[in-house]
Amino acid sequence: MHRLRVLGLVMLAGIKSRMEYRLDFFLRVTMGVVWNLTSLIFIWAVLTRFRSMAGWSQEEVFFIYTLRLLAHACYCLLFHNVQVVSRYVRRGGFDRVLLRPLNPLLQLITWEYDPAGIGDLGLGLVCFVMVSRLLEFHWTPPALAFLVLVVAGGCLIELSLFLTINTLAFWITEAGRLTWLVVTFSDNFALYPLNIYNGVLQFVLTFLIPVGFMSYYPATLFLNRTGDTLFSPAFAYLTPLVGLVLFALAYSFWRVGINRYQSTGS
Amino acid sequence: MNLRGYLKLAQAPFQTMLAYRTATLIECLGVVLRVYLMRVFWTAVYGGGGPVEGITLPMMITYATLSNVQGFVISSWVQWAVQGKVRDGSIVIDLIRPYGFLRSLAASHLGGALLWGGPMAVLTLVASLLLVDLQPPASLAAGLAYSASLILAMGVNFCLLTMVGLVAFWTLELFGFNFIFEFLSQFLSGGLIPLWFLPLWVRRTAEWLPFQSLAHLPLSIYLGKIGGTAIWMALLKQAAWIGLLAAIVWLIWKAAERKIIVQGG
Repeated sequence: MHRLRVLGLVMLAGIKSRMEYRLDFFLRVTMGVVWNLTSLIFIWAVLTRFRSMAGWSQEEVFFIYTLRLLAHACYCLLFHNVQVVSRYVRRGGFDRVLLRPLNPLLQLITWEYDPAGIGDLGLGLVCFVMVSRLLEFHWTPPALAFLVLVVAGGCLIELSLFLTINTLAFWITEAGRLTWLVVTFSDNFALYPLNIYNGVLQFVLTFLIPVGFMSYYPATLFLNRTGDTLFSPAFAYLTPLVGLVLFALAYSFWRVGINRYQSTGS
Repeated sequence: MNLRGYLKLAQAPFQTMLAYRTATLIECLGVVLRVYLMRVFWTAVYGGGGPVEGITLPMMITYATLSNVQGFVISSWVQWAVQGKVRDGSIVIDLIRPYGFLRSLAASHLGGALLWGGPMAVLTLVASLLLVDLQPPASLAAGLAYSASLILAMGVNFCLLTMVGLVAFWTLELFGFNFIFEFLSQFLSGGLIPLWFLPLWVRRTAEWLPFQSLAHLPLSIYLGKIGGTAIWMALLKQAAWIGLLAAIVWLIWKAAERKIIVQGG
């Protein structure tokens, strides 16, 4: 409990220090919105012209997009700092973290605060209301509860991917650059129905870089199209579990990395 | 004129690229992935259907691939170069050096485009060919005109980005401004979605803006959507934009030059 209070205070301090620069804060929130709007406008405009892709209507693709955005927003809001871990390790700033009596990962996550996540979440919620109306969804309490679990699971999946890549920084100096490749996958490949890809990519996006669980698989459940899941219909339910397992793996890997850490000595 | 000095400036980006080989390769890989994703995306969207607005699926894949690859040649970091110089005050040193500031920017931009962007584009294109079928230009003339149009696109983008960069003299910070600018540029240039597929009002707006010189015009020429005498009109349009934008850049620069004194370096 005490730990949580400390974390809350540190995070609040981070937000406050960002708020010092009002314009910058506002710009970063706007950027979160605009960044995601680019892919949304792309999908929306193309599908307005073409109506559907691989058997999924414009509204259904919009729903897949929304699921990913919500999970991504939660990741950005809470864990975005994981992406700077490699920087701290390379420059030796990681020493400071190890000296403090708090979990190193939690410290890193709350170090700075990126307000862009607020924009992501805002847009995500607007999209959610819009797509629910377009598809005439009536959200029952159990469905909503499962949606929350799916979003949390998706958030954990993205966190695990970035944590794994950044843990590589303990061995490879250039690990930060690989982040960009993972962003390409999670930002672009998770946006569309998985059945547009060939078998190899479907395998990769399900088992290796499992961003399919952030959006496509749970979407088949909410859209009553579990017949369209790949590999096994059960995958539609697995997102929360995949998130937890993946995070457990990523966190163990992180522990191994920390133990290997040698300061840069500069 | 001090041509050798400008040539040296033009070489610098190429040397930077050699120094950061891993970064270079990863950047190529990222673009190849995007090229492949776009192929899959457009194939799914067409779904075996016929041409839309006269554009067949192979044409669309060619469009998307070239749009991604030619970005290496057209794009530039000139705005960040300007921001950096303004922020740390090294702009003062540029001013006492025996060359023009704008001309030195142009030299390193052209150098970057040809010596860095060129090899990167070729590398990415070759790698992309393993994943994507590319259509040849509509005709020999179209191919030649495309190359000319690409060079003009480079000029238009240089002027636009220099304009963005000069804003730093007043705001010191470009991040947000540049972000919004690139957002608009992506859509209004046709780089992301061909303008033919967009609503009429967007097409009308794009007609009056310089952005379509960056992707829509060169790629339309390549695919033969713009042919015959219309090619000359398109090239002329691009050249006219360069003239107009260069004049605006020069005026802003004149105003900025006076501004430096106020800032005191």
